Amino acid sequence: MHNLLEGIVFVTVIVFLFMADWRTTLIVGIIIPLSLLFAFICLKLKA
Amino acid sequence: MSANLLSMGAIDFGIIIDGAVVMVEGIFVMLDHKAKHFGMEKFNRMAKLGWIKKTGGELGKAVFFSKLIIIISLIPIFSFQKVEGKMFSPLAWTLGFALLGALLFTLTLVPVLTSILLNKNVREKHNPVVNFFNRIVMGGFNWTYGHKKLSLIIAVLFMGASFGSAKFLGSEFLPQLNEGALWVEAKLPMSMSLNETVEFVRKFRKELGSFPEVNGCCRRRAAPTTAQTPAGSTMCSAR
Repeated sequence: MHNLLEGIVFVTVIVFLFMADWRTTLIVGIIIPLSLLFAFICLKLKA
Repeated sequence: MSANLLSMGAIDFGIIIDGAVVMVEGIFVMLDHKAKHFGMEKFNRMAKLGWIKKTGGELGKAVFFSKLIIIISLIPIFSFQKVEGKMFSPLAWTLGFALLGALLFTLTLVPVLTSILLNKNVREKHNPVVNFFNRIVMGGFNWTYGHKKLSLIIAVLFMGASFGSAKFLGSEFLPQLNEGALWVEAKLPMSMSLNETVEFVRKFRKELGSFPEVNGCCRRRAAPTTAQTPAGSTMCSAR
């Protein structure tokens, strides 16, 4: 869990570094937890 | 399927977000061009949904196929069987579902969020990090563009070398375990008494341990643990 959070933070920081705009970074940052949520729901349905 | 190192370790956030980054950046650049074209004040008052729909639709195709290719590349992992199947299939399932989720949200949520958040004052800022990498990339691009034939030959050579090196790759997916352990077995005469075998095994172990290279030695004097091997108590082994 800790690693996942660290990963999300690092990726968001890198994206911010390159995009240099908080709005685009926010949009990209929202995608990470949402896609993980989708993956977890699918894994739960599969198991 | 549980959340563990094998399933969670597979999640590469870089691959997951790249579609969203492409989509957001594409729409951002388009809006920036429009803002420059119309002037910021007029741009802020204009409706942008039509532009976003057009650009999003164009980028969506490219993003869809790039994600599809990554998901298809996971298919060989699904075909693994036995131990490697048990080890690597959680990785493929988790990454596959995460990519599918990312694709779904990139094509639906991202254009909606851009239309809400990038509604006003879209201006591409001067970014020294991007400029630095741009300089390097453009230098390389100009060189290859200036030496078309040479770069083509180099690329083909590299491709040939990578195909040639494929035969040096192993086809075994699990790493071989090598603990540096030796398994020494001794078969004793059938008529040997139990007490004598105990004494023999003790001596056996002592002699093995006398070598300076041997770190430790454990012994066993009994039938082997696998039922397929017929052997009585006169079989002894040391490791």
